Amino acid sequence: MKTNHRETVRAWLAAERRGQDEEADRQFRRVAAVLPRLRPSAGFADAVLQRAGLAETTPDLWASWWGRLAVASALLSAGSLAVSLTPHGWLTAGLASLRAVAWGVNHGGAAARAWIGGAFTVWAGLAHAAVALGRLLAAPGPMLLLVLNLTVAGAALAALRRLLPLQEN
Amino acid sequence: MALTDAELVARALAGSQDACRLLVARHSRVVFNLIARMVRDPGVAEELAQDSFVKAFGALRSFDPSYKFSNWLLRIAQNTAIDHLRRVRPETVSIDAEAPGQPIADLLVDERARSPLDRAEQRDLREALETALAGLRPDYRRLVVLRYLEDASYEDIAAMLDLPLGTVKSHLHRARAELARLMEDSGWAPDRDPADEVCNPGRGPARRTG
Repeated sequence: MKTNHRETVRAWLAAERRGQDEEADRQFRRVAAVLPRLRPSAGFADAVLQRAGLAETTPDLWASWWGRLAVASALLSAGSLAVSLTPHGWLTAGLASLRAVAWGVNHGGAAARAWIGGAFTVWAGLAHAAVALGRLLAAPGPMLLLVLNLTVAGAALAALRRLLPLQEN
Repeated sequence: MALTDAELVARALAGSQDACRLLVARHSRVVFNLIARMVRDPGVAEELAQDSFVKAFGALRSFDPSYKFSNWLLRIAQNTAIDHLRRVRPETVSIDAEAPGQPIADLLVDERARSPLDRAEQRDLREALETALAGLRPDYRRLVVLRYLEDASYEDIAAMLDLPLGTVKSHLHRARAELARLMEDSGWAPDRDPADEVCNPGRGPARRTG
């Protein structure tokens, strides 16, 4: 319905002039309908809950005394150990670390090789199957059958799409 | 079935964050609209609307469930807005004063308007109404917003603002009469030729000087 704003304003102002309170109230309600109802921004509820101290907070381990104690203990023990090690001890620990890294690289590399080999095997099998299927379909008989099958399926789908809107109506 | 406000308040009092969130979602638009119309600055209005909810949640235990939650909340909201207006503008607002900067006008976009002419006419009317509304005393403005923008009944407004019913009606009558005068002054008088403004949407309605 088309709204003639000026006519509505005129009707309201005329009612005000005539002192028709109820009519003026009714007409002004129509005039005021053009004013938008303002809305707050999207994060309003979150901001309110945050400010009211009602928002769910993720536990901050650092904020708890036992979290700080655990970190401080770990740092202290690591520091004490580092200070107490002799040069021979440093050498032994360093060699042990290097050995661990080398073991990891070696085993990791072997695992990666095995994974890639496995993937190639799978893909090779699929490729063989695809070639065999292609050869089979390239023959005139199966090809004709396939085209016929696709044509029937396409026609059935088109008929179904025509029928669906009719049923909705 | 949707929970009532009273049920949500009970759950909020029991510590349910979801209930608080639902209460905010349900009433934030009305609270924001009322405050934004009163303070005429969306940024400040958002801040004050948040304040209102924070105050309401802080005082939730004092809420009497036999009253409407929306009335109670809107009373807090309008008190918050009035406190702000008193702080920033302690002098009485003159109805003849120029409207302050109108950031709210930036929000006035309605794509539903059908034709360019209709859109121009609607924009002119909105601007004129916004300006007239801004020229009203804040206590009249809140009445107009509650009655005509939020469709509140006289009884609800009376309960919300803690005013006698007769006062609400008479103040609304005066507010509307004042708005009518302001609208006529800005060129919307019934005897005016509408073609003047409709054909020149960019020019806006002429101001009567006499």
